[in-house]
Amino acid sequence: MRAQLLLLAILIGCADASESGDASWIAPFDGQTAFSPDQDLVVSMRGVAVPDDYPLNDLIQVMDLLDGGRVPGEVTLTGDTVRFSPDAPWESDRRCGWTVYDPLEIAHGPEVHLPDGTEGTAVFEVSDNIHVLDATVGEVDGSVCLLLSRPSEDALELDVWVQAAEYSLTAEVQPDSREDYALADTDAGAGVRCFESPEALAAGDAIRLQIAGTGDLFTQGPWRLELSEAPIVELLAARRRASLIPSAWEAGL
Amino acid sequence: MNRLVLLACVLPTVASAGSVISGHQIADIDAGTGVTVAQEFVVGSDGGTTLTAAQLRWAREDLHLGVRIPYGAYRTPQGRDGSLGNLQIGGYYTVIPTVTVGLEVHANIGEGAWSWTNASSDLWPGAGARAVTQYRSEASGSLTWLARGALGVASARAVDPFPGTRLQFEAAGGLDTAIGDMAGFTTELSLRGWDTSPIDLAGLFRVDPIDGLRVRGGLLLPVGTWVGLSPSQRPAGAREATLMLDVAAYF
Repeated sequence: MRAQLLLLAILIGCADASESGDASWIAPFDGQTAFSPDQDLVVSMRGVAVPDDYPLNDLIQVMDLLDGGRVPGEVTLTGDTVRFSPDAPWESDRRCGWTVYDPLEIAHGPEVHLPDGTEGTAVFEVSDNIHVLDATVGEVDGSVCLLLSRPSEDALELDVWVQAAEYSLTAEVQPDSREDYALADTDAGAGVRCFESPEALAAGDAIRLQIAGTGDLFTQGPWRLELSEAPIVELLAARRRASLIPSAWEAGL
Repeated sequence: MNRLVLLACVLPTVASAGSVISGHQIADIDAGTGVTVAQEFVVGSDGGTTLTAAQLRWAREDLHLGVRIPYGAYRTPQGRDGSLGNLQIGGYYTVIPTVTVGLEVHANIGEGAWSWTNASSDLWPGAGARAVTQYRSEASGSLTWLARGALGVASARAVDPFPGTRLQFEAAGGLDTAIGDMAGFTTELSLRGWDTSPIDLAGLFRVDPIDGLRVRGGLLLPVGTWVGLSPSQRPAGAREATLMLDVAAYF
């Protein structure tokens, strides 16, 4: 298992390098927390040519899901990367939804279309909350691995109810040797925790779990999740709407 | 039209100094020294782009030089914008009275006019060169045949629908019918590839109100675009046409 964790750490380390390729992606990923107050929302449209300074103001729209209303900001285009910069830093303890739209098509004008799968709505939080976003049995044999909305250096106490087997367990999950999924220098990225299941679980089984309160962290959850068979990198790539991340990581190896 | 014919009979004959009969693609490249100001309006639900162009011509015997500066105003997702297009320079030589050959080059001088009217090399930022030849011959007293051919290469920023570097050819034929000595009507069919408007049918009415001045107005129908031959992702359909006006002075 240690070797697998080391391999995963290498994979994670290659994540930034892969982004210099022809991948498209969004940041923050859908469900991310601990988003930095002074960080921009980013849509990388690798492979999509857009004229310099062409107005794309409606490409990204942001809603404040706590107070409601649209978050004012500026959309800028640099090369093939679009950024949304809020007029003021993101407020703390804030949950926002942001939507990426295909640019409005103008007759007799540039025909700019986002890569497939880039459009859509995602949420992020400027908070210390930890959410369990996905769970999979496809990462480590005999274990259930959780994709967390942010990394954490603390041990997490999980209460898990397995619906099919009708049992429950409490597991204290320590940070292990794997690095968390930092996606860029200023991006905290995602976290991953695994626990061994006393019963054999399969993809498609449903579990319900919560993170018990520890330290400054209040009880988080519960969440009901269906176990996936995909590895964590693919689950994270889906939340980043990354077009080529898995193959790029493979190339990085 | 009858009034114009009557006018032509009553007024003294006007013979514009240096003017030649031309169409839309078949330009007055072998005209005398002078200046032309032209305006094109793409109208219809797919319209909104306008082109204003100033052209200076210099002629000495069989040599001709032309410089054309277009300015485009166009729609964007955030409203209207405008910019200078591609500077166009042409040098021509009249081989025999009916045939002129030349070389035309264009290069962007604006911040980026991200649009087009009916020619891919007018506004969209790019550069290129092409060899051209034009033919003009009177078929009878009131009919004049026109033709143009061109072959070259052009390069532009590869943003859809523009492919970047491309070969370009042009072929155009036209017929002008004189209406008295002061007026006429010119029809023209042009084929171009690669181009944003591959097949155009144009009709232009011309009047020479005084010696050395010609005013033209007409309509261009981008039939290739209508039937879906344009490289744009827009679906086929007759949603646009182009109104054309120009005033030319010959010194």
